[in-house]
Amino acid sequence: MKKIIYSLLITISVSSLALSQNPQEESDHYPIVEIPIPDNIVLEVGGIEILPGKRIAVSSRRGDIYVVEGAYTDDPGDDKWIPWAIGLHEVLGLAWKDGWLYATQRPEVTRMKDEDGDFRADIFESVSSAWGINGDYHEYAFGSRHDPDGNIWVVLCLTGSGGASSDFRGWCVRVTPDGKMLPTTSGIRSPGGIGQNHLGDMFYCDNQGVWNGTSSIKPLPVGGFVGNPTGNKYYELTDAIGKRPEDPKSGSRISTERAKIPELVPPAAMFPHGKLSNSPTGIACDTSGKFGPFTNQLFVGEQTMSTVLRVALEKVNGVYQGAAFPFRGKFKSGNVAVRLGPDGSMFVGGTDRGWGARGGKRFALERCHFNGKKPFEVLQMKAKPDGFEVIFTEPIEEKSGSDIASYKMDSYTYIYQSGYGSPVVDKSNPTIKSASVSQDKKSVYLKIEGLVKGNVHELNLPGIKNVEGKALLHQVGYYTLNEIPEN
Amino acid sequence: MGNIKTLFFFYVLFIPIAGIGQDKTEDPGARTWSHSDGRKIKAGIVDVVDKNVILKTPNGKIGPVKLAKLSKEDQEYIAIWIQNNAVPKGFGKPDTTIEITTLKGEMKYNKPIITVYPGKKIKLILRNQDDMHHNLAITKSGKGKDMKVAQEAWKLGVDGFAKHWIPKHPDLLFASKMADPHSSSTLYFTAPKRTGKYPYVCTLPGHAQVMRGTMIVSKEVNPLSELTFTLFKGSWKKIPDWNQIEPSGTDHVPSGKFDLSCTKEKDSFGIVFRGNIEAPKSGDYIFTVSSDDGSRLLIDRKIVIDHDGIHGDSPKSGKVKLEKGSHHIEVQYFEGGGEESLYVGWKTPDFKKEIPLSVNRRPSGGNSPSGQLLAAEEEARIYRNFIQGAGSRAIGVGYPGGLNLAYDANNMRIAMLWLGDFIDAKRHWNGRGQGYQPPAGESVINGPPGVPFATISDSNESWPDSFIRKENAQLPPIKGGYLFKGYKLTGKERIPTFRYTFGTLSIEDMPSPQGSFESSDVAFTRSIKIKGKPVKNLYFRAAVGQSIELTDNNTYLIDDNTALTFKSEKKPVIRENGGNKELLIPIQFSNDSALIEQTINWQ
Repeated sequence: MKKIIYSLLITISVSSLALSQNPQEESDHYPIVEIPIPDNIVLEVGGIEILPGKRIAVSSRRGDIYVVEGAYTDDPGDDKWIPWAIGLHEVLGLAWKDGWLYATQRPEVTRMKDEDGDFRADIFESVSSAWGINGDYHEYAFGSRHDPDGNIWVVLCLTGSGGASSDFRGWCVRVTPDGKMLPTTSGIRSPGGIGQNHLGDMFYCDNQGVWNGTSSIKPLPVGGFVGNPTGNKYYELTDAIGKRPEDPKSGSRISTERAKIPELVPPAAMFPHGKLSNSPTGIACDTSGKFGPFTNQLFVGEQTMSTVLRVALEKVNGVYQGAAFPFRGKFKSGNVAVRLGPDGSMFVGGTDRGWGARGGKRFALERCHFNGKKPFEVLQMKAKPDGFEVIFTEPIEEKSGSDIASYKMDSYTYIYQSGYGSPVVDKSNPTIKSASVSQDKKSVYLKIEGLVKGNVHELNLPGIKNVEGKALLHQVGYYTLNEIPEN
Repeated sequence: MGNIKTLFFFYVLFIPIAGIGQDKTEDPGARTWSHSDGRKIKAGIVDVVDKNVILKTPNGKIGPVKLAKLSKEDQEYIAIWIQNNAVPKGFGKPDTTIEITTLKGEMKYNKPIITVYPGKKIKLILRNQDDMHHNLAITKSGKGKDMKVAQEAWKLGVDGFAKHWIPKHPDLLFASKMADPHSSSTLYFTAPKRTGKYPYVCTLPGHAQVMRGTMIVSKEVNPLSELTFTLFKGSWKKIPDWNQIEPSGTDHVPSGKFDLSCTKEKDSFGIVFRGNIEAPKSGDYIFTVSSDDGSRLLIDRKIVIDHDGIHGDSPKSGKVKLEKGSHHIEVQYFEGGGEESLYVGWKTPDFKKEIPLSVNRRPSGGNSPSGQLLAAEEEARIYRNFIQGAGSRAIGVGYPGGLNLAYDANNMRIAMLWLGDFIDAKRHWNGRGQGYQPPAGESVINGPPGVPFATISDSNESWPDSFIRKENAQLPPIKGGYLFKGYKLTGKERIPTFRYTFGTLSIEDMPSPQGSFESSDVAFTRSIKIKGKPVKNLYFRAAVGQSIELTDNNTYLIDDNTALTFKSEKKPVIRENGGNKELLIPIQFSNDSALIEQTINWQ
């Protein structure tokens, strides 16, 4: 009888793993307000930027840039939309600096200024148009804000998302303040967004596809090769980052190829396809700490599922890695642009044209903010030589925390191959040997046997409760274990 | 010259047919001729063939009379007539014959507008019905040129009459001899190649103020001629029996086409238009009338479209088989109240496109087939996207007034200019937006390919293609090459000035629209400002084509579709290179700058 009950319990708790996030409870901590868009504007958001004076700039895929006033309130009925620039070519990145609004559009990085004070851009300077474009719609260019040196980083999608017919497709390039283009990182496939972390290191999101078994967030180190060799023919055109790396062998694993190819940089966090993300996009970092307890963590837009994810990274042996968590769902369109304001407002803009999105609306502009009620979440996971340290946003209940049955861990990865995407492979179940709750009850040290270098380690925590007996708001985290620390 | 009998039959057959619908002012007027057999014949001269004069009586009878049988006075009169109407030696067969009549007792031509095709041979018969002498002089296009020539004629003084009041003046293009009262004078000339408006005027002292018109040289030949309208006032629910109503007046239609601009009436009126239409070939023709309220269209006095009744603007079509040649056309129209509109168009057997016979376009129910046409309103509309013919870094600009341009920012050139509708964004704004979109509208003219500036040290040196940026290429790593710098918007209409650098030079290229799509003076002016330390042997390549011709007014005709005029320090140079002709403008620097001003006209 006991066996049956236990197996029933296990069945129930396993099936509860399939539960999605708790959307109703997400709104208890992070309410979303939809910002009304005038009827005559087809917004299809490509980029958002925070402007001085409580304004934001929003760019559309149709090439228009609007300045929006009144987007910051909880009741934005009186928002004003000012058409600031019209007719650019698919703007997928905005950055405000020293009185100029910079836009990364398909053919170039442009900077614009309103010279005569009529609230519309009069000067459009082409900062750099150095890369090739041939008319293929896939040849997108996503651009970042300025880095500490004043450079804008641009990631260039491959032709047809799998080929390279125009110079520097599949590359990340930096555009300097004086308009030079510096090839920076190779190996890009189909980016969805780009942004910096609190240390000024640049990251971008790539989509499941050729040489990308699943979507992920990847770092952009200068001189690195982030995995897709299709654009590597363009090493011929530049000396900027040295010799062309060896081509990876198709059908292998990233960790295997890394051993042979020193330039190869693994994804910082993989997003399991169909579970967490299908198409990750814009990246924002909460450096102010005003967006809840997740200071210095990254937030990533998700187009297909109309959600925003959270990514908590660390560096082990000099390599970026960490965990991805579900964060907030129920956005109205396919999220592309994500930007955090100085007051902790998160602006999210979306479009579903060309690629469907769960949200349902053709386009939307929304504001999500932290209402002060701290959610009970896994704050971050830290890799250890023999397991993981799991840190929470508040103290947990000792009993559930020290019970290994409160946790379940799966490990798997994806084939690193020239074909499109990959099924989940190399599955295993690392065993949790013990769970030690810390003194302040805010973290647990999980001793685990069977860690696999290079795999995603999916940790489910259905049994964890806080001191009030509440379960975690989100009960799963996906840690990409590129490196296992020595000590 | 054929057999007299054949000619006689020709005239007997020809004139009555052509006489249908023609107004009675065609009659050349009467002079009394004295036949040697004692008869007095009241008739006007139609033509002189061999040793016979063809006379036409006021009641329309035509016949030949042997010259030898007429009085000495008559023969002298005829000799003068021959002089005034002779075909110039070597002229050959005219392509088009036009007749202009002077109105009796008024100093006016019966036609304020004539239209001719560029470069065609024209026979223009001036039939003088008046009691005074008149002539017809055609001047160069440009405001006031007709008056200048007429004023010069005054100065001829006592010599004027003998010189037919034709002065020497650089603005005079062609002039007929004086037509005697009730006689005629014929002007044979070749229409200018350059399209535009050319004034014509009677240069006899004191006549020019009122006796003038405009010759439009255009590729768009109006198939309608002799178009008049009769205005009726009244309230009807259906087209009335016009014969039962007293007309308010009849006049020539100033625009030469079917539209309501000929009247200021807004409600309770009717118009009957009558004229001729020239069918270019035999076959089926489809006419369309769109009107508010009712209308009817008749060809050769038979109803082709009946679109009667009180209704809003809506089209109706009808098909008719026509033989090549001239046909009578009549459009009847009435307006009850509210909105009023009239449009007529036709499709000839050759063309799939409908050609308007009205000045206004056919009112469309929305844009082009399920399109998303972009348009400039009070300000220029910019559209950066993949534009067919302008490359992957194309910048489309739709200007107010229906002029449009596509700039190629890969090679810093104006790739295309066109008229009418700007561009359809539907392709790029739906789904994933794949591909290149061509211009909408019409009359696309292409700018020269390649980069605009280069240093050419010897006349055989080819225009370099080392600076050319291929579409999918990175910025060419050429020292001293081209760098696109963007654009700025200025003026009430916020039109762009494109900026780029070429080596050490900074260049600003500002095209400006002139006129509007519907006006015949539609054009682009363009100013190109160059700044920097002088570069030797620098040229601007303004055109590349199969033919480049310098015509009058310092205008260069490129492949018969574009006309360019320049204001620059140095004179343009035409050269042959690589199987093409090129028009190069040498750049002259002064104070570290240079300027080219260019006007681009459609032909």
